[in-house]
Amino acid sequence: MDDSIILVVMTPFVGAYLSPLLGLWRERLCHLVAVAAALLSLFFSFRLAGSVLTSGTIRYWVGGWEPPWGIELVVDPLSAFMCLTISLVSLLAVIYSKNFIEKELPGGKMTSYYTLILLLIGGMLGVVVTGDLFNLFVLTEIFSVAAYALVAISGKRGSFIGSYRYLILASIGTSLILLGTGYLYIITGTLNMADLSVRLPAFYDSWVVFGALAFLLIGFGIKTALFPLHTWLPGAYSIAPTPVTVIFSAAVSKVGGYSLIRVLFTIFGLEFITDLVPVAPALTWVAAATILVASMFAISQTSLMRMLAYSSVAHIGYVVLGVALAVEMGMTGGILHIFNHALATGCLFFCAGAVIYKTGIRRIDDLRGLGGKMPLTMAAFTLAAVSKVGIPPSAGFVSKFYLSLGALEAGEWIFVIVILLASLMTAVFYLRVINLIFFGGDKHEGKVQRDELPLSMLVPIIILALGCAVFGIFVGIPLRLVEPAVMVLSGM
Amino acid sequence: MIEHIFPVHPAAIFILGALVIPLLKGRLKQIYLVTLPVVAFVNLLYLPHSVFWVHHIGGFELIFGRVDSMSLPFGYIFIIMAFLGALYAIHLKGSGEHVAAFILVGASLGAVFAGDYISLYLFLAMMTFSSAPLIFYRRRKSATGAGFRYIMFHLFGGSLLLAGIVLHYTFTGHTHFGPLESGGLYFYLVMIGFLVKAAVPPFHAWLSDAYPEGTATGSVFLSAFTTKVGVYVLIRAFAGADILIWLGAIMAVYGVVYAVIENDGRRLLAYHIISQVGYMVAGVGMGTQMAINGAIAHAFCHILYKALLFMGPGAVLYVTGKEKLTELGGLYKTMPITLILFMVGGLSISAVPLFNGFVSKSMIVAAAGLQGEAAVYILLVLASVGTFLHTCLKLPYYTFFARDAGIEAQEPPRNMLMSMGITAFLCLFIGIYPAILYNILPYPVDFVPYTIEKVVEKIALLSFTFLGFWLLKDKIAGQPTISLDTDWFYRKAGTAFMWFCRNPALAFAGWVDMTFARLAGGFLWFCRNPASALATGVDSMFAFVVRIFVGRQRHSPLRALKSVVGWMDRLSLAAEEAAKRRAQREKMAALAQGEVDVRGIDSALFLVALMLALFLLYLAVKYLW
Amino acid sequence: MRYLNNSEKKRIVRYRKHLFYLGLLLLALLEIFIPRDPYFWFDGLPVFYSVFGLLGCILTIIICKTLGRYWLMKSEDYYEE
Repeated sequence: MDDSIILVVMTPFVGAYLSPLLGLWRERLCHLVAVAAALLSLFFSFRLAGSVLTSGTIRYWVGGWEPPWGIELVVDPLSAFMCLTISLVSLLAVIYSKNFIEKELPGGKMTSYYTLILLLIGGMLGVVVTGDLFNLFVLTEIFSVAAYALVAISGKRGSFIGSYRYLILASIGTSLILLGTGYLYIITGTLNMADLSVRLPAFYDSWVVFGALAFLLIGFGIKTALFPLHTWLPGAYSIAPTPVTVIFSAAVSKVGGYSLIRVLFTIFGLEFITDLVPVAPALTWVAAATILVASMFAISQTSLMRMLAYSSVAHIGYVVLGVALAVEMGMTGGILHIFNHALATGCLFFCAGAVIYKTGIRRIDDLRGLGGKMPLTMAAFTLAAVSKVGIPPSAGFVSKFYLSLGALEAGEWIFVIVILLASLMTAVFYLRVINLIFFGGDKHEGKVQRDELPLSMLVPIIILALGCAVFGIFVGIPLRLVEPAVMVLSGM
Repeated sequence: MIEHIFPVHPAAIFILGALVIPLLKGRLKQIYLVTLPVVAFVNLLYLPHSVFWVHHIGGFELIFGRVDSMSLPFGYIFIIMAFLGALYAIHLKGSGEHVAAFILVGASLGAVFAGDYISLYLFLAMMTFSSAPLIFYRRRKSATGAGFRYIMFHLFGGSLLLAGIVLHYTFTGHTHFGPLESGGLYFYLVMIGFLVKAAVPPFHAWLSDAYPEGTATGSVFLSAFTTKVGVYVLIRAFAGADILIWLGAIMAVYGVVYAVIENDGRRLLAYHIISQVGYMVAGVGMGTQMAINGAIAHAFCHILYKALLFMGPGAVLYVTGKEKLTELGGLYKTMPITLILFMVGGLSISAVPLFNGFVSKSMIVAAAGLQGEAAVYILLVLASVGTFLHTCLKLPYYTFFARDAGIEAQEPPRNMLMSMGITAFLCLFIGIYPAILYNILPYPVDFVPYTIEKVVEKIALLSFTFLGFWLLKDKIAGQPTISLDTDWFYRKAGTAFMWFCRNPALAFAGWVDMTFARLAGGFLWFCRNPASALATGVDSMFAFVVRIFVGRQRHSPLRALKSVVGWMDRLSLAAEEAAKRRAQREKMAALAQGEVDVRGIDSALFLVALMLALFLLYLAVKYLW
Repeated sequence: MRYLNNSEKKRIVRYRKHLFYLGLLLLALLEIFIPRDPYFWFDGLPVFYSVFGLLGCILTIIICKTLGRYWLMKSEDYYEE
């Protein structure tokens, strides 16, 4: 039995346990611990992905107890894919934190910060490897609690309010998830996902099942920030420290999407959600609305962080749209976009954070002429923005292309239009920023020196930006995991 | 020995080569800029006709190098143009424009050699993005706006093209880029996508909007590539599509009409690009071997003389900073060489014998004649009258002669003159020795441009045009105006859309946020004292309902009963009492507020850590046991 | 040219003008007498291209200027408001 599966989750948790202890002695050690834990997680994720590719889905019984009594961890290609995405982004975010946190979070909060961020990472990794619905709830709660605290950690004006609004909405979400889980347990007597999917078809005509599905959908819908349940997101994103925002946009919301996929495809199954109860078609419409409305909101923003946040909401819509189309190409596009969007949005938020770190600028209009001051950062920003708009040969184009093909495969013409329209709208607000950055004249003549970032911040930015380009050309690499994931999900 | 070297993709030479430019400085950079196209040209000469660089990515076959007699002429002229453009711009100190221009060249070459729709789309998008900086570098407000509209319009066209490609793949199962079967939605989507590139009305306004806003050196590059790539892809996919004959003929005259009323010299030239591309599009639509030959030959010659024509006003703009006809005049004294070289371009575009326009344009016109398209023939001849009138007479007349505007000027830098000189030489060389051009065309040429009949007809036509111009030359002086064009639609629509996003959409976003904030706030208020809150809710509900019936509305249907039936009074009283109670309870709930105790995160962390420790302990025990 | 006085200049201009008109006449005559191989009935007519050039030029200018004056030409800050 492969131990990577438990190690991938336990490493961040152990790190979270060590971090406060070491923090008592030397606060700076926390960063090292966090980097080490995230690095190990990434390493184990790679091993996990390798063994999933060679030997198919892996099951692991924690403590050797068989389900339905014990906790079962299941890693199929989708889980491995998510593990890789999460641990990669987390590692970069933790590395980025070094200088950023020293400047932005003074006053001995470093220990708490790294501990919380490791909890957050561990919780997310736990969610994606667990094979048990109740565990999924518990781990969701763990990373959510860490997330609430991280939003509020800076203690700046508005951070408590932002965190509080997030907390209220997300708690409502988790309560609904718990209710749904409870309903399913009542009716089937099991919480194990594999068991659930076997036992549920007998109760397909029961109202309790519908209720459970509805609760789970809304609950995870809040976590995923689907319109109109997205309202917590822009506030939380723009207030949290940048590395946290990156983890939020690149991983946390994707984990919500992952849970949605699990509930829809693994527990309820393709047939139930498309034929018996048309949940998936309904979700495609919600996703389309999310894409369009969020893009429109993004155009009207004046703060860079909020603009990126709304753009991130729109792109989660792409993921959900692709998956909910429930056809091979669409699901490939949707799942692939989890990764591609993580790269692009991570890079964009990193750059926005870098601008705040260097100059304190948050308004879009003030960005004028920064292209000459921070050329590398701004070039990375441009590359990532291009990927978000979906211009070839960037990674974003590939997922957009698959999504369009998927929409046609499902016979839903209208979504092709939605995707193309949204990419035009995305172009509007990113081009405006890029144009200001490079050709907007110079607003900071003399004030800001030509000055790049410290390496700890520059390296993550450049890795992600290059990723946007590289994975647009070498699409085969992520597809090696995505294609089997789609096979497993659609039950082939 | 050279055939042992694996041929390099021409696009790769330019795109990768462009990335080196910022690292170089001074003389070295200048040498590099003119050497790279030469290297690329030699490389292209050694490319055999074949299909290269096929990659399979994600289940799709990408063909990057389809080298055949159709794509090679475009490859040659693009690289020649890159050399001329680079030489013209060599004095620029910064790297940004050079990089953008070289990537534009590379992307155009990539599009020309692309053998499938996906790689084609890739390079077309790259062209859009690399050409925009050449406009943005003008660094003035109108240029920014024009560049922005340029990108957005091309993205719009690209979106339609992408939709067409996706649909094409869904129906046929492949993405091979070849002649399209007529009919089917994808046929039209792909066609519109290409028509946008070729600037065919009504999708042409981006051209006349953006090109004149480019930098002096940038516009030279801009004028050469995008529309000609559009013509190339039309030839590949839509040769012989009847609708193109008409679109092309109308387009040829359309550009002329706008040129009459245009005041900006380079915008006038931009409208003449539209007019000239109209010939090519009409040629593509006719689809005969002669017409296709003519279209390709004309694209080849057009790139040369149009570049020359843009270099002239570019030089004037560079020296004087002015480009409006109403602000210029009398420059023949100070810039005679520029004038002469510009006139070579003007005579070429007007298809005067011995100049290169004559050997290519007359091929398309003759093809129209041979096909018996009388109306198209008339329109094309009319367009050449207009072309001569504006490019060769009006523009130089008002720039270099007419009244003396008293502008301080001198000849442009040597590299500009050199570039113009070489271009002018090429225009003449091809005009005098057309065989060199005819030999690289895809189909065998049995067309003889220089017959006494054709030469006399052409000279008669143009000479009498000159007479007309001389009679009316004061009537066509530039006026300080701009012209309405189809960009009106999307400029207005764009403004409206931005307004929509800034106002109603933003308000809606705010409303959604507020609603959730209120919900959350209400939830909070409820949680402070649920019993009291519930009672308040019931009370206010009661008060609300009763008020509807017996409240203050004068015309309430039950109002009349109120005086009759006593219990209504009592109800009304009860309602007031309930409202009072509600107010009291609200006050109570509010009083319960107090400071929320925000405990340190550290203590919470401690608890979590404790739980984790227990969990780890449990696991450890489990394992050891 | 630069060193000539005004009356001489005028004379030269007049002389050139006459030369130009002579050329036009010659062209029109040539168009009548050289053997032609027309595509359509109309382009084989005598002096077709000469007349087409003159009329085409004049009509283009008149029609476009009229179109421009009453519809297409707007002041330079039309889009700014």
